Amino acid sequence: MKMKLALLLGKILYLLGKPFGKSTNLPGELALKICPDMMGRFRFDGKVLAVTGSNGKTSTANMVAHILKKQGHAVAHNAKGSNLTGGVATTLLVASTMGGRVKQDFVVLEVDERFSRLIFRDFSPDYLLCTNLFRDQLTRNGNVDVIIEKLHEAIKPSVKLILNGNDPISGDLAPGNKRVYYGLGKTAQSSEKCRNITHDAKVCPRCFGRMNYTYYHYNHIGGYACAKCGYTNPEWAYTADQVDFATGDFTINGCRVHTDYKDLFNILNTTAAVAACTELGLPLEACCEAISTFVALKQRYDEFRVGDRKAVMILSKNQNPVSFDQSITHVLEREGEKTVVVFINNINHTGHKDTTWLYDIGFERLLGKVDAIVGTGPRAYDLAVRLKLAGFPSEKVRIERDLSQLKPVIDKTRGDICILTELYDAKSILEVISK
Amino acid sequence: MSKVRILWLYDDLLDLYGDWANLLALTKGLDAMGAAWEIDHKSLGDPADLSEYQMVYIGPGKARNLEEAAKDFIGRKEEILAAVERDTVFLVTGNSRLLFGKSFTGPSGETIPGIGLFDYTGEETGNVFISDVLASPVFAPETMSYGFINRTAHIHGNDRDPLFTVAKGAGDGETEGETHEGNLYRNFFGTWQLGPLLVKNPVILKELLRRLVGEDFCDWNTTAEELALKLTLNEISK
Repeated sequence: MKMKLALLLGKILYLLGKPFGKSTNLPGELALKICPDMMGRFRFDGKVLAVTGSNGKTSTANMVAHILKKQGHAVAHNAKGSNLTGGVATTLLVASTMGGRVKQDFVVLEVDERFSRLIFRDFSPDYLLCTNLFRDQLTRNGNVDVIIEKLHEAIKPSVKLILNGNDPISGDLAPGNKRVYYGLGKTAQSSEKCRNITHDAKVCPRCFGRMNYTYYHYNHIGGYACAKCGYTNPEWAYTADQVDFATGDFTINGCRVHTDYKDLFNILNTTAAVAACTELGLPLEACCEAISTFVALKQRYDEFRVGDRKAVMILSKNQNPVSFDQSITHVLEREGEKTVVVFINNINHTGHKDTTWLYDIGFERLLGKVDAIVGTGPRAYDLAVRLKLAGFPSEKVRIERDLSQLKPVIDKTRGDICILTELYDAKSILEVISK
Repeated sequence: MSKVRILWLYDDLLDLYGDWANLLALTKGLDAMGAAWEIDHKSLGDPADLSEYQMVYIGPGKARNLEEAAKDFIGRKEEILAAVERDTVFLVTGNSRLLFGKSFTGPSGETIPGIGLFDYTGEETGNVFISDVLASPVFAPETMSYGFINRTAHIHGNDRDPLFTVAKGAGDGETEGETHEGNLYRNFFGTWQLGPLLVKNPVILKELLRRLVGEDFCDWNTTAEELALKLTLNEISK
């Protein structure tokens, strides 16, 4: 009875809230108050895949859903990154019948790694895809070891894992569980030395021995071997290969794939999505064909025009240095003159003034590659110090802390405008710049 | 001026945060003074002759990694204590301070011995504790510094040689309004505060450099750093 009431009220709240954009978390949260074990009472006709990881989980889950839908399947999916308990509960209750039956062929749930143990307290996915694990929001999440502990509480023995064979940290999750790996060998854009400051696997996650890398894709993702215990990349069931960075074409197990987002990070995520869908039972060829038509969410990567200049908004998350490193890679891939606008806020959710995390981001990679860097937001002057220490001459750095005064500063710069910002702040920047 | 040699101990194990930028700020200061410098990286099992270095830096790390570092560090006890006594500059930030107390309880519950430079003990709690800190360093009580604490461990019984008098935020105890934070003993600087400390606080950076290079110290322009600090202090003081 409680379950029926929870579903009914949840569905009503969802319909009422939808026109106001208030329907992603609240219905699920309310339903869980009425029926705390609601998640364990759903019956699934199809397979359930959860997607988690520090970076790229929204894009990868969206890619998985895209492939499945393209192949004509009905999919329940929390598409907007509503990946906490309330969001997942909303997705399931909306997809469910009043009898608690989820009839869709597949359920694809993006899940916040911190909340995974709560989300999966009463039910379990059939598959869990983990894209990677990095230091991320250390003030809220704690370090990678803390996240791994939480994931281990969430991952039940029956779950089959789909793991990144280039990541020594997430690749070693729940060693007792069945698993399949995807990976990418050395490419023309891989490097022998780590290009980034953030490197979370300098020592072996198993034995603390020194890790030797034969190549890096980015940060600690690459080809590795521990000098002490021999821990090394596992064998991959799904291999990305033959990457043509000019066209965006590559292959997965010999099957051709195309992507418009040609960086190594995205190629690995694309391979992850194809691996997951193949594990779910779809033919590899069909997955590769379907993923080649995928377009990333505008929220993540949005191109537009400001007067006669091109501009691009690149999602760059607060306290997530790898996310910023990826954004810097996007900037460097763009041809021609460009100006980078960086919005640096206080610590999200708490308002603390810490900027230690700016020193985990490799701003040095932009040296000599941009017309100017414009810093804005509450911690813009801390960014100025970061850039000074990175070696940028003062004439290359413009600081305007007040967002409302930003437009004339940007107007004095040249080239494409690349805006690095958190999702929360993107809209206000867009409004100012597009005036 | 002879080359300044700096040892970054456990750079691979204890490297959780952008705290390494303390060394960046320090070496930029040395550059501005025209001083040559070199940073050596040493970790578990690496032989290191501390008499070759004018400075040692140890940063914060994951609890498991700190436990591993501690097993190695105890073997260097006499050499480290001797280096402190001969006024080698030490900068020890975050949970690596636990290595210098009597002992600490690690994530596995095991009691791990420290080298006993200080009488405090430490405890890993597993819970994240964060605080903005406004404090005055004991060598410049008229100035105010900013630091950020993000810790899962606590220190108990740190009651001598403080580095800071805390004006706002957490000190070494668990409660807001704790008066003291960190340690300054001879040229040993120990603190929970990140920021990174030397980047955010030119006064502390310059004091540390004065102690490092002595009479060869000469001042340089840190206007940008001072402006960033001023804005931070103003916002927190509001």
